[in-house]
Amino acid sequence: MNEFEKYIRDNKNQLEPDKMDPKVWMSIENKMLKSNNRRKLFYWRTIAATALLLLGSYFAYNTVWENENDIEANLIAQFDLQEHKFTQKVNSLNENLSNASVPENNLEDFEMLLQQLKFLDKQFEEYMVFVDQNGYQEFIKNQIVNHYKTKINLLEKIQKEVEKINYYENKVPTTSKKVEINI
Amino acid sequence: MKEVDYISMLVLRVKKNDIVAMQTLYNDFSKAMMATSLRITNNEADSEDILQDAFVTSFQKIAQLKEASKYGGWLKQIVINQSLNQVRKNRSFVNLDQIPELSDEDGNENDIPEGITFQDIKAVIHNLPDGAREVFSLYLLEDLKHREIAEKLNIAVSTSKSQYRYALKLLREKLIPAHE
Repeated sequence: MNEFEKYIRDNKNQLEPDKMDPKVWMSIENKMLKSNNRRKLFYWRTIAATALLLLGSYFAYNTVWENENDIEANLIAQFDLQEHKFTQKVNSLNENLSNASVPENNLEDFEMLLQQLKFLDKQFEEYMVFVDQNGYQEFIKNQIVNHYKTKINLLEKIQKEVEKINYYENKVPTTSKKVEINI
Repeated sequence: MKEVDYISMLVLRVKKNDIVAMQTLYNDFSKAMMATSLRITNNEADSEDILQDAFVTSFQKIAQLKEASKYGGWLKQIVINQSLNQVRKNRSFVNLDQIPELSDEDGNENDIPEGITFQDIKAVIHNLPDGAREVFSLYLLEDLKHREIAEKLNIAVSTSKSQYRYALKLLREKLIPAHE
């Protein structure tokens, strides 16, 4: 192999595209969510049957004290509030973590989680661009709901990690200075 | 280069259907895989479709991956195979019997042409004849042996070697006049 060949081989990452079209990932994500949903269908059918039985008993029990219409209105209102609740939950977790700090030498434990948080936020921006360009389609709605669930899950994971580290730090203090994790 | 453990950890989470881990792997590997596929198909839309299928296949069959740290190599195999399938019907090789001066001793072949950019190299690779471009990419950039290339493209090992030399010669010829 001559110097010219070596030069190309050693710098092959320079031949990669500068960026990827966001629709490639969106399509992969959509396929994976559908595939996961199919797998979960059997599981959820069993749960749903049990839940229906319990719900039926609940309604039968509560009609003695509560008007049936009030319950239905309440359930509809809860459903409409789904997205609002997601954003509230995200905001509340963000607020909790806004001043969170950990010993400096534990900061690298959060590197991957914070990187994923950035990916999620970037992905959300891409959803919004897609919605602007193509309207609010059903599949994008599902992906936005999934985005919120994933983000909440991730923020809760970060919060637990911070709590765990600070619990041990209080018990066995280190000399490492405390720094904010910057969420 | 990221640590091996980092990839293994992501693979473990993909096995648990973690969509963020899938996205992280996609972000880490998509550009390299796109470049690999594009050099074979020479068609952006085809390569985007191949990438979608390859990532979905890798996520759905992740349980078959014995060593999590080898996800990148495994994914690359899927991308290469799907890309080669895509172009199989239209593949053609230039008949090198018609081209007399194809030798190993070809002037200053060790020199790196001055002033070339990777955009130039990309453009010249893009314009190489199909068969030669595939062999060139698989051998130099995807680290396949001529024997493996011959098997994948259903050609003789000697054809793989001569097409590679031909691609390299064209690459140098097209890069040098532009900058000398």
